[in-house]
Amino acid sequence: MRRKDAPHGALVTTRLANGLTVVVQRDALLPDPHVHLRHDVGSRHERPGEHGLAHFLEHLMFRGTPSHPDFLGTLRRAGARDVNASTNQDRTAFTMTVPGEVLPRALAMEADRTAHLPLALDPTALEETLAVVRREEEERCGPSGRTAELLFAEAFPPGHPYRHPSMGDTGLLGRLLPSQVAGFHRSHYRPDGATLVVLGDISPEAVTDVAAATLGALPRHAGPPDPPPPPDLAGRRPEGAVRGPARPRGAPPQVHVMAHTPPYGTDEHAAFAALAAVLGKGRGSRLFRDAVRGRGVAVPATEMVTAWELEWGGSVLFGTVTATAGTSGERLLAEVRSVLASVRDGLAPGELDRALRLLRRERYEALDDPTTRAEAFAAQVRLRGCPGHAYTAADALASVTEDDVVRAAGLCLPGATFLVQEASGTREAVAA
Amino acid sequence: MSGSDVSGGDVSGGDVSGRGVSGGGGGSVRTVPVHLPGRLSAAACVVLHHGTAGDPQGQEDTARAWVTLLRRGSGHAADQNLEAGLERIGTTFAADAGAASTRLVLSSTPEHLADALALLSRTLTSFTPRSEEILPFLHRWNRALAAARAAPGGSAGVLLRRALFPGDRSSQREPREGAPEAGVDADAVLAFHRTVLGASRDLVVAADLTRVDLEALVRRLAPPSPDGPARTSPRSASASGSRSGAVEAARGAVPVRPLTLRPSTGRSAACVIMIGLRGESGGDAAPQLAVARELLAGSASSRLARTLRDAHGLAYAVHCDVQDDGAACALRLRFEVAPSRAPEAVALALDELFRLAEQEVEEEEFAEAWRVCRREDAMSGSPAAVAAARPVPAPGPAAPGQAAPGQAGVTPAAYRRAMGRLVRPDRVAVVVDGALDGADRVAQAVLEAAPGRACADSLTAYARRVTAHAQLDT
Repeated sequence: MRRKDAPHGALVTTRLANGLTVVVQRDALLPDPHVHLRHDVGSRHERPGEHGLAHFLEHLMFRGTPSHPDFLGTLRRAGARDVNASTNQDRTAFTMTVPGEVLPRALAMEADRTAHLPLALDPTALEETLAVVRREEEERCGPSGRTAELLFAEAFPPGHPYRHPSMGDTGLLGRLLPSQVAGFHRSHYRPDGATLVVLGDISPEAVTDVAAATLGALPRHAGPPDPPPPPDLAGRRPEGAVRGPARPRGAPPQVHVMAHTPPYGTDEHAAFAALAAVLGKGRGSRLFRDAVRGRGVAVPATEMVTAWELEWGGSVLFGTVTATAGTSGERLLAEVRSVLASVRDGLAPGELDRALRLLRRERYEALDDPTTRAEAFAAQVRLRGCPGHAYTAADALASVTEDDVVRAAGLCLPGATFLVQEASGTREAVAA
Repeated sequence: MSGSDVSGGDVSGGDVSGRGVSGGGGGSVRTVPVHLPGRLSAAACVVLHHGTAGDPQGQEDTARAWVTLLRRGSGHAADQNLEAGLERIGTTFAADAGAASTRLVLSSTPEHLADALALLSRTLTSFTPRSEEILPFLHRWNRALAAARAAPGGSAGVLLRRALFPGDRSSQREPREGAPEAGVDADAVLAFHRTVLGASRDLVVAADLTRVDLEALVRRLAPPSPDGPARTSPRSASASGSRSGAVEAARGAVPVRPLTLRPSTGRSAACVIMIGLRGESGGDAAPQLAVARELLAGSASSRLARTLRDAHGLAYAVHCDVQDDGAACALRLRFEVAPSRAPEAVALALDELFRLAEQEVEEEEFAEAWRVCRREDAMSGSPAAVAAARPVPAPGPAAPGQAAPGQAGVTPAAYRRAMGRLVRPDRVAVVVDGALDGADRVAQAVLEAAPGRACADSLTAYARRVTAHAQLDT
């Protein structure tokens, strides 16, 4: 058990005998504990033929088990709220907020479904759950979701685990057998690949004891080893063209961009986050000042560049901007490329300070929010072995220099992938 | 500063230690500090006690236009002075116009909060929009509003309000594509500007107060303009009449239109369904509807999430809110379904809604809904910004956001009785924005769903109302 002081309360980290990492923070402002259980399984762990299975499994985890056939109802009646889950490329997370006295029962139920979900998997369960996933796909993966999918498919080479979307292929998922789903579950839902974070006005020692008696009782077993990350993709030049859905008739053209960066959690990533803020965060950003105000080719508040937080081998910058009426996709693309290229000539006075202050406030707010703080602790356990690094990573932004940002721009932007969407169709271009 | 006031009460998970803090100049500024120990971010909310209820007739959305103008700027002074200036000190700005007040929220860090507040204060004092500056902005703003409402699903909210409050003149103004000049005009914005600057102010500061010099902070905020209200334009002064229609409608003078269909406008893969329930402001309806919101769609395990998503795979996300503009209030449900399954989804959602009036909610589910109403804001987003933006505590009847179930003395049985008075077929409106053949399909689906249900009578009554009013469908 390791203890470390932190602004919101002391952090207590324990590695249980079965490999589960437990992080508890006593935060007097949270009367009901917030629970975040991260399993290190995301879409990058899926093999061909099972794309989307990690997300599908996340939904199936709510099907219940023989002991708790109505998982959500049981938790709700016990007083749990905000019971939810999410899946991305790197991990699946289950979250809830529970009254303190309900925490032992909630963790026991988490342990139960982690151990016994395969007993609840049958063709009916798969079929019913897939209907819900398809509905989610229809609602969430509209034109913007498809855009990200096209960019990832173009920016990452065939076979790269980040190349396919987390939503996967629901057509293929419909052909999976319960035994195949159960096998994936057994391989990836294991204590040594999981992190439990509990924040609240509670005793860290008591919570750790409860975790040991519930999730800590799961048998330790080895899953497939995480393969070494692929080579750094920064500077890669994409090849070929992508075709995709056109913008609806009458909708203005859009330009989207994706560029490779070092993985989230590394010291180098901070400079790329700063670069994204310089380019596309707020009304002082280059895209706003040049493309929106200066040239008038982009619609205000549609311009954005952000640094994603992919953990394995590399991450990406993702940007988007929408053309004003009468501006062609071609014109907008030229302007965006010009704005991106301009960073390599250096920054204006105050430009980096603005970006870093916005980023730092954003990260402080994320740490103040219990849901994103828990997420950050769990991620840092896997990335750096220490949840407290969530705080030092936010403060480390202050050390980013102009040279760092210009260097980052020179590394990642020349190989950026662009996607232009307009009524006539979607096409791809490579930065000069 | 004269007229500084003290307030207290549980605003958030933090500790509210009310104290009066003096500033310079005249006018009234009440200060509400919210202590959030250990938090790294900080926020301040300036509450200007003048809002959308003062929008003149025919110029509804004036307050929101002013807020947008202040945020984005007319292309000149405001843009340079406020958002861009705030960004330089790492601060973001959010603004919202409610019925009775306009809220300006600064999200910052303890070290930059005072400078951010000073900048906002300077902008409020120096921001003097001129007609020739405002016109281009209003042209864009009105056109964007019209385009948003013309998009698939974009008019559902307007149509629902029109169906719930047919006598409310503000809901009659349907923006039309190709007519961007319609909407708010510059005179109304200028009148609002003068009035809102003369209104009384509250300042809520939410932060780790050990890291913020509250006295210095308050001194940065200029008091209201002492001559502001005297310059209120006659058009604005007569604005209260614009809400009389809503009040009459809420009192039942004008019947709710049970079903509105808006044909698909291009995208046919899904249609948006909104269901509304009309209430009255000022009584118990708003807090009761807030509990209904939690029961129906407050979480992944709420009733509609289980029915529409888990049991039938109809809609993945179900949104629900309670709108209360000071004259009338309404519960609003919104979800998206495949067009072919819209009637089935309407029937299931209405069944869940009417069931609140027919069947007692289980003790645990009910208590939890009350509890969430009380704590929801403390648990989501940046606690500093959320705490700063919450309503300033005021004396009055207990509401879910302010009182625990025991204090309010509401039991599941009492709640069911209250909902029995509120959730009636003649108070319910449904809007289907998307592809659907006709009203008869909805009526038929509801009729087929009724037998054997606890709320069979209500479902049947609603279906009959749809049939009787079918000629009103658009």
